[in-house]
Amino acid sequence: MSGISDEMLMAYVDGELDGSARTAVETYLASVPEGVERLRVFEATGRGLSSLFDQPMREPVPQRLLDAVNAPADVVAFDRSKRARQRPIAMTWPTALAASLTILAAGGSAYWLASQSGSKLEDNLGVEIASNGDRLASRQVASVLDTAASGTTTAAMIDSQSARIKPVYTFATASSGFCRQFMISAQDATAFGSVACKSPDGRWRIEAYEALDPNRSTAAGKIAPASGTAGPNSVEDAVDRLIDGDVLSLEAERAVIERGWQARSDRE
Amino acid sequence: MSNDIRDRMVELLPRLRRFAYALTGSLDKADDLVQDTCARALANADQWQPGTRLDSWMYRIAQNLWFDRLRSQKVRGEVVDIDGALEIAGSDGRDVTDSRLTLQAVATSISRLPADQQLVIAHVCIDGLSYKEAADALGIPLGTVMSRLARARTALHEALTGGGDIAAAAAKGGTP
Repeated sequence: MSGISDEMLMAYVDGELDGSARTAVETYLASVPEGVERLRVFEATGRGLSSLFDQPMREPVPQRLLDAVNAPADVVAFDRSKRARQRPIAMTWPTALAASLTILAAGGSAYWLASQSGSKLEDNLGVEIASNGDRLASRQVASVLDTAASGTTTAAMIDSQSARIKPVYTFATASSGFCRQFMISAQDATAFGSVACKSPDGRWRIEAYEALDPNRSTAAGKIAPASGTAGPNSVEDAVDRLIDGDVLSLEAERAVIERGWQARSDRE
Repeated sequence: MSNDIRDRMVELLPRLRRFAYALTGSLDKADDLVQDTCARALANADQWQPGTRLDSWMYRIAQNLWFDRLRSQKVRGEVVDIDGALEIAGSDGRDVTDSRLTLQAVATSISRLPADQQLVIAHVCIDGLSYKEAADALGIPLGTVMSRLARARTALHEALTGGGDIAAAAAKGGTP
């Protein structure tokens, strides 16, 4: 009997055949010696292969994956759907902050208004002013932006206070450069959101910087920028203005970090 | 977003990791893929229809990400070589056994298959789906699953037994 295809033999091995088809294969195997040889191909490559890869079934799930499921803030920030392209920040930013600030709150710190009137940008944490007036990320912040993956938090001493810097996500610009949205928070629960873009000279130019005021929750878990600091320079507007395409995936971001933030030669 | 969906995602993680492990050949890379999958799933949680299978939806996200990844590797001309990327199962050396060698050989051979064949192997042979379930997961007809799977396994067997050219073997019989 020669009408037994590879597919049928395979289905036989996998237990996918019903009565009559099964009988046909068995008849073939009983009558044609080379049938068993053909069968062996599929027996050797069947569901038994799964035991080779079952280490994940035997060990605990790594913490970073549990974090990925349970930490909505960063996760939502990585949305690179079309919806995200239209409005990359609106839904992600408040959520990201809410989670971050909740962590701070859990530490027992009392919140206080971050950047009240009179505070100038050049006084703000992690920002320095170049001789030509440009606002640049300070050395510690730049070092985190250069190397840290989005969603990770790095502790640093800035202006002799301990601060935490957390890139939220990375995106490409129309001019083939890259920008990152990040958060920086101080021990006293002062928190800022910012967007910085990598300049050809290697510095991170601050495109937007705003104080985040945890007392002005607009809804459960939502946090509005402190009054007076939003506006033309708000983080949301800056991202809308700069972003080209979607927020980078973690993998694409890692590739960009590894090649030292060089401009794209092609689309990621 | 309810915590319910998160709980169910956590339950899926071991299986999803195994699936990704078979595709990537490395636990580290598998975890990267799973992490990105969870991130995208949560970001698009409103697109998931309650009442439909969460696992199918998550797997679809994972396989799309995997396709994207292979494509971008191709575009960048990266050589996918996982021979050196496989972890040693136990660092004390006891586990450097036949099964480890087999794992390495199988993972390497799978990595050399076309992406659509990798996926059908991962769904059926690794994750244990029925042909019908695999067809649903991949959005292709049952007959295509069977022809693709038979080609992939024939190629895999040749690579593992005779050092045959797996790419040529996988292509045998034309494209579906």
